[in-house]
Amino acid sequence: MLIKSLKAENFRKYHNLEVTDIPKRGVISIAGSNESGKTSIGEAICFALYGRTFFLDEKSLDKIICWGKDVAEVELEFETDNGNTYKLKRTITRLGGLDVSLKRLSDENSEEDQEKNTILGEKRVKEALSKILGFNYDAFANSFYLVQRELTSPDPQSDAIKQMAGIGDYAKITTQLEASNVENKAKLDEITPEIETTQAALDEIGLDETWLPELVDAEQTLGAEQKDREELVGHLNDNEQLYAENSSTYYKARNRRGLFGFLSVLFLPLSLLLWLFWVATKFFPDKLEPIMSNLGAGIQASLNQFSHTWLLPAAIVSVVIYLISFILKKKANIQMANLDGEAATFASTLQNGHRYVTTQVETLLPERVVQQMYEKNKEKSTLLVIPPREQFTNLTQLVEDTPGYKAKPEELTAAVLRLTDALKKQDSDIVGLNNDLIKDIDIEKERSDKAGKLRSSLKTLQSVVNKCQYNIDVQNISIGMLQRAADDSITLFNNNIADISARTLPKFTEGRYSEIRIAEDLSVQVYSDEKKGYMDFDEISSGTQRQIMLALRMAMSEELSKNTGNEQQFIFLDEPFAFFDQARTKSTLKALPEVSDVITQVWIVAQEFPADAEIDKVINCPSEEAELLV
Amino acid sequence: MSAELELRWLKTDSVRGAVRRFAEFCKEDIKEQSDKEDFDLDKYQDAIKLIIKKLDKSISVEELFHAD
Repeated sequence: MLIKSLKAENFRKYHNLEVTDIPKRGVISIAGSNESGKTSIGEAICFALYGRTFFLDEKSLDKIICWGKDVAEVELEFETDNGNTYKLKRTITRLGGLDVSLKRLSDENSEEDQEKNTILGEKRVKEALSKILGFNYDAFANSFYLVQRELTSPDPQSDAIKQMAGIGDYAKITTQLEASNVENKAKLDEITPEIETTQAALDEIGLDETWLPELVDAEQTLGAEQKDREELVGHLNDNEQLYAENSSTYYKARNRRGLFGFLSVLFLPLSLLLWLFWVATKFFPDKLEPIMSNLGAGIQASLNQFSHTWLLPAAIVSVVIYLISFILKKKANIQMANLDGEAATFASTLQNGHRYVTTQVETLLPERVVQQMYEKNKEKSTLLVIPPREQFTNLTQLVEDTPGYKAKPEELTAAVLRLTDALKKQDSDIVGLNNDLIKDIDIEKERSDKAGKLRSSLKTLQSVVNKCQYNIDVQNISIGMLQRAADDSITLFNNNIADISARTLPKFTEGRYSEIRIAEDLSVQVYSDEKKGYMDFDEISSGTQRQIMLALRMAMSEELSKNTGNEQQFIFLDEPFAFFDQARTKSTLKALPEVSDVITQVWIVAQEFPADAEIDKVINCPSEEAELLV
Repeated sequence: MSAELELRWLKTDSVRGAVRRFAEFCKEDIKEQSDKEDFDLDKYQDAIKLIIKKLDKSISVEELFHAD
């Protein structure tokens, strides 16, 4: 944080104070005689930032208002490392009224944006400044704002040192995490009994996850079985009726096949003989002559007459009769084959019917479902008992006799009647069992739903428990990590301030003291080149003590800057050379701008500065006047 | 993969101040912690994120300026 400008009205002795064009790097000297208003400049900066000064806390602030005036106002413009410029304005009235605003400045911002970039009110501005600067008043007053006083080593356990070491927030975060852990544990204690109760309710239901699927499977199996049986009864009745109708047709076809078979056997050789005789008489009569001459004259005459008039028609008729007989025999064969097919289907249906009525349905169902049926149904259903086999003793024979229509239709009718009666009886039992199963399924579904809801709430509760437990684990790890990081930072801080002090001290003391030891309690020992050994702090002269303390404070300021992300920082030193001789003042003043790459803007208050001192901005405070514009 | 590599996501050059110092500390600390039997990388990483979120003030400043 670097100061860009400071303006004040009616603040302490100043009716009007205005310091502008402040260099980012270098020494800003504030010189003047006693009561010329040198310290007031530092007080104005401190008041703007924290609403108080080193000597005046919030209760006695009215003393900063110029004598005879009612309102004092301070405006501080400062720049942070990320390039943001802020204007901090604080007003106080003699009646105790306080106004404060913090504006983030930007050339590009419109008027509306400027309003959005303004924070008003003590509490919010304080919070914002704490976040922007990274240090509070204690840390500020122990590092960047060293007013005229006896400088000592700060308390190593103080909040200011923690901030300087970069662990200022660690304790705060640890406290937050511990509080969160307490909340998480309380939540766990609250949820645990709820989980136990829910688990007990779930255990009481004792749901077997496989039972419902088994019941549904059994219900579907029975449903399919019932449907098959109904279809089978229909097929049996249809086929039985068809068999009776087909039976006579089949026998008629068989008779026709016998008749036309006989005729075709008879007319085939006859027609061949007639045709042979016709061919012989027609084309080879001389070959017949010897045979005909052996016959009697009457027969010979009859044959001659027959051969000349009837032989050809007879041969043709004979062939025609043969062909017709052959075709009709084949037709009868085809008809018989078709009827045989239907009979075979009927035989197969009968066989199925026989298998259905003699098969126990329980063999199709899961064992546990059957077991439950036995337990529930004291009277055994027909499903669970094989029907008397004697009722169907001749069924096997009938099945064998059905193809070829050897079985009598009336016997088949009786058998089909018995089969369908048995199947219908069993169907009725299946329906009963199925209804029982549906009821069981409903009950099981209800239990399953209840268990599902319990499991769901158990899962939700468990996820809350897991989340709480995970948070506790992570937060415990965080707390441990913060502790280790704090230890590490303190060690590093001590080493760093020792290194920085050792680097700074020779410049302040012109090489008389070159090494410094800083213990954990921040007590200091210095190596004297003259005495060739380490000296305790109280063994050295008061002027050197102040030089050492100034070096130590500069080192701490540098650490605070780094740990709060301020790579460029101002420091305000009020009368740091009060007890220095001219030589010490010169050497320290010369060394101050060079001792740190971070503490670049050094404000120094002194009654007077050596004439040859390198000063980047001079502020000479007037003894009499109440206005200072530089 | 070494525990150190697991923290590649934790950048130290893009952050400042306390966050940077803490991030640098974590990169050293994990080497020691990962040798412990009960070390849980996920929880360790979540712990880092939790602390960094609480340490990182830049976001909160923005929130403060745009609270209205």
